[in-house]
Amino acid sequence: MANQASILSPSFYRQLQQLKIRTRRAFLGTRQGSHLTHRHGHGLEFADYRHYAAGDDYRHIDWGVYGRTDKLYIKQFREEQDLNVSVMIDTSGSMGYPEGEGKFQRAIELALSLSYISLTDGHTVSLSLLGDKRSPKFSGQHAIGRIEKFLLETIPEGEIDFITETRAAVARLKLPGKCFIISDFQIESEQVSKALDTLRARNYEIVLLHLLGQSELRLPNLGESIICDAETGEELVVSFDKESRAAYSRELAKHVQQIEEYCQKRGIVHVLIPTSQSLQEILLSRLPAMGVVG
Amino acid sequence: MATLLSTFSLLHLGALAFAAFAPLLIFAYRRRDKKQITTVSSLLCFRSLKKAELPKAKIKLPPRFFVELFALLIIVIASSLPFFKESGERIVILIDNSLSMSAKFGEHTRWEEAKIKLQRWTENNKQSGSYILFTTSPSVTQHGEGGLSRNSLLGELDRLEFVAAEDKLESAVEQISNLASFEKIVIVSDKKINSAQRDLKVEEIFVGGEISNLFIKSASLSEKGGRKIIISEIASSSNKTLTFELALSGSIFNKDSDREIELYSSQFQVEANNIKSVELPLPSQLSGLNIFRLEIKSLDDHVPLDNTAWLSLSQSQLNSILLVTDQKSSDALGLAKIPMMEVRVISAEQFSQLSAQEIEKYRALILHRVTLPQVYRIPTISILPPANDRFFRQANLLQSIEITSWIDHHPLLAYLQVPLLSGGSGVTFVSQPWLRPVVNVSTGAIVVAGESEGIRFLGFGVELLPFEGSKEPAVSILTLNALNWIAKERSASAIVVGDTVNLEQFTSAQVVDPRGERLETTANKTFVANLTGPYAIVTEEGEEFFTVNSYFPTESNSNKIDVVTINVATSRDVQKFLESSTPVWPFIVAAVILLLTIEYLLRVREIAKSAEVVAK
Repeated sequence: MANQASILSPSFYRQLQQLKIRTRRAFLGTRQGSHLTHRHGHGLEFADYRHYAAGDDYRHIDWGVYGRTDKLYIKQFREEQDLNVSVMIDTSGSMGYPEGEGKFQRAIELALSLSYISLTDGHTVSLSLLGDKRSPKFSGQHAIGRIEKFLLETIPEGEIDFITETRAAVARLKLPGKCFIISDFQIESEQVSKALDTLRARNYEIVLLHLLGQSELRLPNLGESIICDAETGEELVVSFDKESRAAYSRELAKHVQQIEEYCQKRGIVHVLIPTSQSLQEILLSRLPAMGVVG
Repeated sequence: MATLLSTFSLLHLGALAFAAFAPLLIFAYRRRDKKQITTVSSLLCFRSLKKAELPKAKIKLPPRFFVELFALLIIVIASSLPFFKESGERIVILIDNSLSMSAKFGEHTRWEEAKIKLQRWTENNKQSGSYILFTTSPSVTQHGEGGLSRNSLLGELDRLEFVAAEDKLESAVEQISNLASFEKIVIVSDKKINSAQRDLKVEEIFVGGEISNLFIKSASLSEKGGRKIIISEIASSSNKTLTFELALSGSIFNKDSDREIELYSSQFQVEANNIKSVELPLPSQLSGLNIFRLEIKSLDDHVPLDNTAWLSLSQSQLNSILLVTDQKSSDALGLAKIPMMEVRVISAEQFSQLSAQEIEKYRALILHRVTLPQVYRIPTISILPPANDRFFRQANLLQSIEITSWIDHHPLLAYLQVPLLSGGSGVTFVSQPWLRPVVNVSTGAIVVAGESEGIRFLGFGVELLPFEGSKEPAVSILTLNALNWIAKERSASAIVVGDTVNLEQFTSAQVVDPRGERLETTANKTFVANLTGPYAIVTEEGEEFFTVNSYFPTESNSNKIDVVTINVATSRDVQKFLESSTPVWPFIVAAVILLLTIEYLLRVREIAKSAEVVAK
């Protein structure tokens, strides 16, 4: 049972134990698990019949079919294996702003929560800090402590090449599975598309957890001000009057819409998460509603 | 408000140059505003926003800036030492306290009338600013602080008395006119001055009507044609020629008889404000008469106190004191301890057997509890004279002495804490024209001093002997002062308390007073010697010293000291400002503190506002 982690409370971990990672497809694992694969093997779920061949285990002969057809048929079952869950977290400088809104903290909590759900379900978890390091594979509930330690060692800073980082993260994973990408996606939507294409090419089932701060969603009135990009350091003199803020909102909505449309067309789940929303609400309400966990 | 502003002044105008720092404050604020940059996660969605240049031409200054600017300007004004000049004029009051003010007409003496008229004058001149009070006699003396209010002036007046000294009204006005810090001088006197020749605004309060005073300026015995004569100068302070009678009487003063014989009187005339020299021959047969009394009699004389002089036939012996006492003492009752004193002690009986000539050869005569049989031409001190003494007439016996008043400036009281003489028993004296009270108890004078014909007399109603030096410091000081005063006249080089000492002959000098404290001299290198005792003048060459009110001539070794006859302290402008004006700095300090508090509160409010904005 988990709970050596201090970010999340023991009661919250107990709540997470009831959740499972949902997938739309079957993925091959590396060992026995709880994920139904297409492979025929040991399992409980009936998959198909086939003609009896010499050497087959006659315990699997369906005698009911023989009585009806006078032909010997063997029952085939779907094999249950572990699922590879990959969690990618954006560690670029933009994840640290707006200051005081806890965007990166929320990302860590989500990663930790999803990791725990996966581990509890017998899946294998690997973490990739985009712009930083990649973790080994973790399995078993007891690994949650190491996962937390791994996540807490990072601070968001600098600029990253999102496409390169995602490609590099994917390259080390042998088998496809479920992939969660946690980021604010404050990059051109084309870059997001290209990065996701890489993952899709590797047959991943992708979930985008799009985190944005409250003051990113609703721009405050800063008058006429100089603003500075947290990653590039580029400065811009802007006016924060009502008209300008409305224009910003339109621009943001357009950007989110572009990502949303791309995801919809390709069967990728896109969840827009404001940092003001609580972790409980996200994991126990929103993600289950979207079929991500359940 | 206009009146208040008209009295506002700045002492150091140059300090206003610090106002040049105000533009730097504006510059600092512009620089501060420019540095405000907000970091955002990405400029991705901002690029479409309308770009605006931060207005360069317009200076955005928060309210806090104006508070800080105002505080800076107030500090600049404060550094220039602002003050409100006293509204109204600074007026010098010069009141004549010479002997002539004792003249009485009707209910009041002139002195009392002077006080009444001055009080009435201040009531009628309430718009006047402040007062400086001087008296004329025995020398020009300031009383109280500079810049007295009306009430303080009246309080100082109450404490003043006239003195038995001549007035120096003209020279007093001359000295005071050298002071630059007054607008008008009000002279209260029974005399008029010639103010037309002076560039002064003078108002005179004349007291008394025209009075005439005749007084014996001097009287001495001499010989002419083998005959003893009295040569006397009779002075008149009157605007008209006066006729007077000069009466001569003689007496033989001894223990048994005080019979006085009228010899003759002669009539004279003296012109207005003039001196008449007269010669009065003594009878060829003196018949034992050994003391003579001259007395002016005149209907025109309004001040009778100075109309009598005593003369006797004798010579004094230098540096020897004749002590007459019935108390047996081998050391002359301690007087032998005093350096440079040669004391001969005799009994009353032996004294009675001495001739006047023998007695008058001594420098001074001290009668200790012994009657003065006659007046000798020798400075005389009488200590606790018996009740039958005709010269030092006793008034009351005292079981316990409680000093109530004294003449502060009398040389007899130099060095002395007069109240320390209280305690013990004593006697009071009847006031005599030749003996003025110096130290008083409630019922009369216990120390009297006088001078007649240049001979000084002292009467002590307290015990002075034996002289015990430092064991009885108060009494010993009084004894030394008495011997000093009785035997010496003030020489030209002597310095007394209140004199202004001139150090111009020293290139650079530091003055240390008798308390050991360093004194500041004025720009003219003068200072007022307010204490008795030794003053040191420290120069690069070494140290010289002089003593104020010294008894022993060898206590002073400097011949460079010069005395300036001004008895008021000079002052610098700043001192004047601090003493006589209303300084504004306390209000300015309070205003600056208030402004900085407001500025702090505004800053806190701004920070709270921005935090609120960020939280939204």
